[in-house]
Amino acid sequence: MNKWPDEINLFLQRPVPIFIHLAAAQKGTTPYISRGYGVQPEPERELLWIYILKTQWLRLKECIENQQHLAVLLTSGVDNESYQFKGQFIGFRSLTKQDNTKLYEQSRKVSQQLPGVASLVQVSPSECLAVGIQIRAVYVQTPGPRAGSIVMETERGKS
Amino acid sequence: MLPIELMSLFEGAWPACLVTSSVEGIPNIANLTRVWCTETRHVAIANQLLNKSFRNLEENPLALLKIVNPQDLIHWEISVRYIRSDYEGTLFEQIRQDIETVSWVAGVPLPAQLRSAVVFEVVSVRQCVEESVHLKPPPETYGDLLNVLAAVHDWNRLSYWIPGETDEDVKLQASRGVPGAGVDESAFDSMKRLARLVKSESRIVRLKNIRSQLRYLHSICSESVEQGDRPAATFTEGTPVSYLAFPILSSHALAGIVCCEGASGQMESVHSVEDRYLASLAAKLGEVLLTISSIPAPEREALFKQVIELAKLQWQKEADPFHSSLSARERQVAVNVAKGLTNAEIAKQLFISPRTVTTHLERIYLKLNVPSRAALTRYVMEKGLLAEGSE
Repeated sequence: MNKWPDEINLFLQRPVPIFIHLAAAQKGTTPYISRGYGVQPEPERELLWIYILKTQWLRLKECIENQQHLAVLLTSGVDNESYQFKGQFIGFRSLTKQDNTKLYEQSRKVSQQLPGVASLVQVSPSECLAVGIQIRAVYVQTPGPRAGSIVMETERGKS
Repeated sequence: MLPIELMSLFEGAWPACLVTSSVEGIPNIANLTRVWCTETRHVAIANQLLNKSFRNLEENPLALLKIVNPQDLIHWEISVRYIRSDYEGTLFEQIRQDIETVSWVAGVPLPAQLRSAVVFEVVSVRQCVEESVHLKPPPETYGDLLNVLAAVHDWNRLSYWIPGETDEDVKLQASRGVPGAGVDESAFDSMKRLARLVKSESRIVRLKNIRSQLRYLHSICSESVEQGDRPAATFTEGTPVSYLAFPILSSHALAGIVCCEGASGQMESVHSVEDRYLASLAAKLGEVLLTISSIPAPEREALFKQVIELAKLQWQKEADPFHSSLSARERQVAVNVAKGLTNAEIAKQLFISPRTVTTHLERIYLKLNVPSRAALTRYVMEKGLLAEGSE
């Protein structure tokens, strides 16, 4: 059953390019951030899968060796509507056929609506892998009075 | 210190991200519309809506700014340390005016007033090479590069290879002047082997005047197998006798391999360039190839020419006896002489005795083959070396 609020579900279904940033950190060190190339939500399991390049994974994995906190910022490329998902790394996997479709969809949306930055997201599925995050909380990050307010906290986040 | 190529990113409003982390190591990301460069070691951002990020900075001052160059879409990571927040003063006013002007021109109200100017010390800067690997140049780029390399160095037969997915694999991207290209499958066999060698050892490979060695090797091979089973190697005027191959490096990673072969009579042009020049050229070409996918096709050859000419000029300067023969101290003395200082003044400035200055000068005259103080001054001025002795 999809337990996520409509606000989040509607945002994830918007037909606009979504810019994705995935961050990790170790206690007391400089954090790391990498661009994401696609997002696959699994609301039933409170998961988010983010597609990143394998070359980025080599750096990211160093940042989650001891701690597994991750943050994902999803920003609409047309109006800055944005949400930050926070949670725990749960693993990574190769892209499935469904993921490949999502990846191409994202690339197509960027090419159509923001052609100037299209080459940024034109990556092949074979160059990518999906990083899984068990979501604990989601925050509004759209510039404005609601910025920073919490939209959703899962049971895991509350515990 | 911020590199020069990054400075243009602070002149306009380009998207950026700030990543902070709490004391427990929980990361937080914030979108930024602009980063201000206050000095070469300091940058600042506007705190309009920073809540969690600001609290994190007070717990853990280490943060990361990620900024994209809109010209080539290359991302840069700036590791920073939070040092202070200005709630008034020159920087605060400058940032307030900048964001209010943009808001006024756009005709939209500010989402929030400026609370403070958040100032960071730059710890390090890194190009996000791992995010640029897919910004591959179009295949014609390599043909353009070979054309320019051929014209500048008088190299006739060239090929460009990129590393494949397996350790041994290399893929041909472009060639120029190679006999049999497109018709003879074996036309690139030697160059392919050479490219693999460069890939595995990541070094410049030179083979000079190897016809006799090849004959010898073929004769050994012929003897070890049944006579007649193997066709005897035939060598013509066009058979390559010299090879040169060098790696192209982008941020220290292998991006490609240039192979060059020369038939008899062409050996001099193939080997007229020195290894140190090739290494410098390869690094410069590697950086250009990383960003060239955003350059319009008609401008590519001109850009390659500029890069190669720059590498040649730098090499000529480095190869000058002023750098290759003089010691650091002798260079300081030579530059001070060119500035018009007397021996006594130079001695005082460098904390050495006037007699030592005289000794240095005698050696300098000998090494640079100049007869006098005036000639040394002319040498330094004409070669533009006045700023070189400050190390």
